[in-house]
Amino acid sequence: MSIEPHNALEAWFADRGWTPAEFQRDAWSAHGRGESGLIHSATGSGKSLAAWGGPLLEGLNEARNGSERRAPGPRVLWITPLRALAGDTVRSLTEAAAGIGLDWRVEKRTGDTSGSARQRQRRKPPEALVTTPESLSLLLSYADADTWFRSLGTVIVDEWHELLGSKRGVQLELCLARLRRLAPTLRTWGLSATLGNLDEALHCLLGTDASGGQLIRGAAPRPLRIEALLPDTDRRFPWAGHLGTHLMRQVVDHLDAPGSCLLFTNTRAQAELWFESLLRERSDWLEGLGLHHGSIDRSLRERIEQGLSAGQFRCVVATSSLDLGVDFSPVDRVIQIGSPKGVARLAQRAGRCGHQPGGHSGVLCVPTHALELVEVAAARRAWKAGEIEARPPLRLSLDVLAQHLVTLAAGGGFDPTATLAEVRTTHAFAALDDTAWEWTLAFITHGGPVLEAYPDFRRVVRGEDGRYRISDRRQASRHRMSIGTITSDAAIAVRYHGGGYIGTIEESFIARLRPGDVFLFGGRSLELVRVRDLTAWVRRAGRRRQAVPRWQGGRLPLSGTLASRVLELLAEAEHGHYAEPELQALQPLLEMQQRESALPVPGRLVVEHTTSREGEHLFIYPFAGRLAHEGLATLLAWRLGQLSPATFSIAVNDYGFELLSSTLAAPDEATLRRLLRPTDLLDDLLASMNASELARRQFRDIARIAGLIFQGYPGRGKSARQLQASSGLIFDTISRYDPDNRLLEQARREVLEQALEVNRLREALARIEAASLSVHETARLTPLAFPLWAERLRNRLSTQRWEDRVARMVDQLERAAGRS
Amino acid sequence: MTATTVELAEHTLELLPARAVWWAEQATLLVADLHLGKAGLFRRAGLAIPEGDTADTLRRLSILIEQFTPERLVLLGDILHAAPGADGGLMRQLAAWRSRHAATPMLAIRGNHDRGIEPLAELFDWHLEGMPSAGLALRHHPPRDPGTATGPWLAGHWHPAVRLRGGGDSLRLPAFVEWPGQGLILPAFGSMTGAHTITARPGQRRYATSGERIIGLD
Repeated sequence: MSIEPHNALEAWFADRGWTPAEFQRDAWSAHGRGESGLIHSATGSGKSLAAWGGPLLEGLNEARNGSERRAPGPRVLWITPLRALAGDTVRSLTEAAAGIGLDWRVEKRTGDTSGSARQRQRRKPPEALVTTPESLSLLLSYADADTWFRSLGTVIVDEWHELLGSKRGVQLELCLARLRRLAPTLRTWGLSATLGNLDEALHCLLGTDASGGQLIRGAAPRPLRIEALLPDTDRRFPWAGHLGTHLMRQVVDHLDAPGSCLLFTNTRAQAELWFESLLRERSDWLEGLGLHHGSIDRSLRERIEQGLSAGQFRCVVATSSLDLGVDFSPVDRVIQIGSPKGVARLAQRAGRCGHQPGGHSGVLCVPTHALELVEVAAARRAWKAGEIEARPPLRLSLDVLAQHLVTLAAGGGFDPTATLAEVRTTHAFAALDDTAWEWTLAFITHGGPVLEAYPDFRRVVRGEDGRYRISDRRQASRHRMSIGTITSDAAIAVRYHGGGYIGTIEESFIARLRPGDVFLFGGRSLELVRVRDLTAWVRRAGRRRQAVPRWQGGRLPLSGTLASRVLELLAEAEHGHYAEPELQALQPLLEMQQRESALPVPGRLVVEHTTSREGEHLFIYPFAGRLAHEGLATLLAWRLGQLSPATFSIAVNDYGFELLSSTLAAPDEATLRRLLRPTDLLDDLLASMNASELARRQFRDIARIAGLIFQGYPGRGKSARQLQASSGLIFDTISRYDPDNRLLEQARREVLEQALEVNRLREALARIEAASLSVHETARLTPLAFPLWAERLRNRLSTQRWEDRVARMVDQLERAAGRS
Repeated sequence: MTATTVELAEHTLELLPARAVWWAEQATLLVADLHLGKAGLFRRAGLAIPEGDTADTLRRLSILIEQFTPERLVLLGDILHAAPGADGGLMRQLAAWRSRHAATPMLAIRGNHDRGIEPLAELFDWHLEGMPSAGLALRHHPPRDPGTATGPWLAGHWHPAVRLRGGGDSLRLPAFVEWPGQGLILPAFGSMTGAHTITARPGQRRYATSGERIIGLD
């Protein structure tokens, strides 16, 4: 490699007052040597240029040597998880290329790209294309994909940590395997925030074929200040709660200082309420307040992001929708409402402020109840120790594989033997066995073994030459429409009755409302007029808000990393060491817990039993996160119910769970150990949960991705209505007539792994088996028990038959009617 | 178990847990919304839905016919899910089923899904919306505003269902909806039919069916 291109790049850095960091130079030379790798570091530390520099230097080299005469097609592909990021990326990549005198076109290709721009890109491909995983998949579904990608030299995956662990990540793994087959010298580079499983992340990115691969650590993280908003000493801190608005006054004071602020909440419902409360508190801030969450119309969100960059906002209330690396200039302060839930997430949010070199990143955490103070201290501890959560990647998602195979069938067809080998080079499908592969092939050709007898199904056909191709153009265009569906939830649009799009909202929320009901959405009070054609028609409501949408996904469990640090802090408190200010603020409360019962510490499971007018309560604190607790509570209730039939009311949070029943004597240690035994876990769990109902819900995404749900034909409106069916109906139909369908099994597996975190549950039971049990009969609710008791979302478990359940509900209805 | 009945224009109609109505004095069995051939249509569009719904629907209907030996079977619309044109299998299946019950007259109201029904002209006695029968109007679509004085009528089309809740538990069941003295909507009979949840409203009564019994709700 000649020296000159390096000089050009260094000069461009120098012009801007920068010097290339060592990790950037490392990445450039690794790329120059033809290697692949993963660069991880904090937001805003120059990761993009570390990855982009390699291809730029190569381009400059070729341009100077005049050696470059390539086949048509882009040479660099830049994958971003969010189309909202594409525009900014194009701008900054273009700037760097132009800055070193490289005449490269950088263009974006996303769902928003116009038809004419796409046509131009096909005829005259740009040197670099910025795109999303879905649009990449679409590009692979065109017949000329193999010639188009043949000259591809580098693919760069931005924010890889955001895709890892999701089905979009699996989709991208498959696409990358395809690209490597089409362009054998392809280098793959990923950019990621710090993760607990970076090696695995690298492995997923490069596939099993790649040897080695560089893991390049970026700039050392800036110091991060994690603080809690401590309550005034004279005010009692609530033991339970979920909004945290009692600290509104203090937060408003904090916001009063000059500068901009991002206020993060954990749920969209919380974001709506905080936005509304802030407005009520300070109506003079109207212009300077913004609301940003995933359900709000994209153009509105983009306006807020631009406003943030321009410094027009005093405060933007946001959810995880702003967790991604949208490249706006940093704000002055970041506030986190409620539990941080995980170290990685808190650090990423904190990274939103103070980007200037040497500047501090800091976050002020506003606990919504007392014990969340411990979580803040725990997050600080974990961060200092460099502990960060892992993101386990998904494996063997046959729905995604089916979609990908149809994509390949549409794009020139595929040879089954070569494709199986290719698919197995991915981390996700390395363990794909022959029968699962055969089943998937059968599924896309004749709908699976059961449908073989019905020649009316045609999607993919096997030709004389053994290649699989899409059956006709209509199937191909229908499939292309469905490619972008991995991300979307079952969402329906919210529109004003007179027109005007507001955003999207989960169907399950709207389904509970009736016309005339008022709900809070996008910071506005809206009245539901009617729901039709997947649109909720609304008008502005004069009345005050009633319902606040409860979106799914907001209830992330406390991470294992954080949970074990919490236990560690409680163990210190037990010995009278109160080193952290948050723990000091909690000292009276923790001492009360210690006095009335015991503190949960590593190696000890605390169990409390108490009697109230409601019945007998059993509280258990395994600290395994709310999802695992839901499974544990149900398991325990079911096993108790096997001893003597009973009906339990169940409440869970991140620390533990409660069982409430009219008769539930305090179990002795031997009984408890038997009830919490790790053996027969899966069988008992499946028997205890309404597993098929859960799987039916999980099937929604699977059905959509695998192409079981009709997504419409281009240009065909309502005539396609007779092809509409809910995923629930499809689930029922398949369960009845094709019970061995592997997608049903996948739904059950996803329920166990994702909805119940069965691995964590298993670990918790193993820990309990080794722990000492500390059982206490308490006179009243302890500080740990109180939030569980106050938890309003209660489940009920009963071992009664279905018919009896109907009868019981009817009975209740009748009694209710009798009262009124 | 006592039968659940509703009174309509001095006729007594028994609601059957099998999602049908037995009109004893006319010896008439009524069902709505069979949506035959639905899975097949989905497959032709490239959606991998297994077969079984049509056979199951016809089998359940045969059981009812054999149990009640009606003098007349009334199908309240949407017998087919879509025009049977390309689906030769469905036509053969349906013709075979019809000949099995050749002795039972079958009257069909044409529903919005019943398009391209010419091949079925011989199988059923087709009628338009609102066909009168002993003082009752047989319809597919319920009247626009079923609560007002429109009756008496029997209809389908809505695929009504109700959601039962209690103690954190929740179930969705197919249902009949009655406007006393005015009309009655039947649940969808087909095995692969979606449903539309009906909430409680004044002037209307809902009857859920668990498959084994009828549960009056309002």
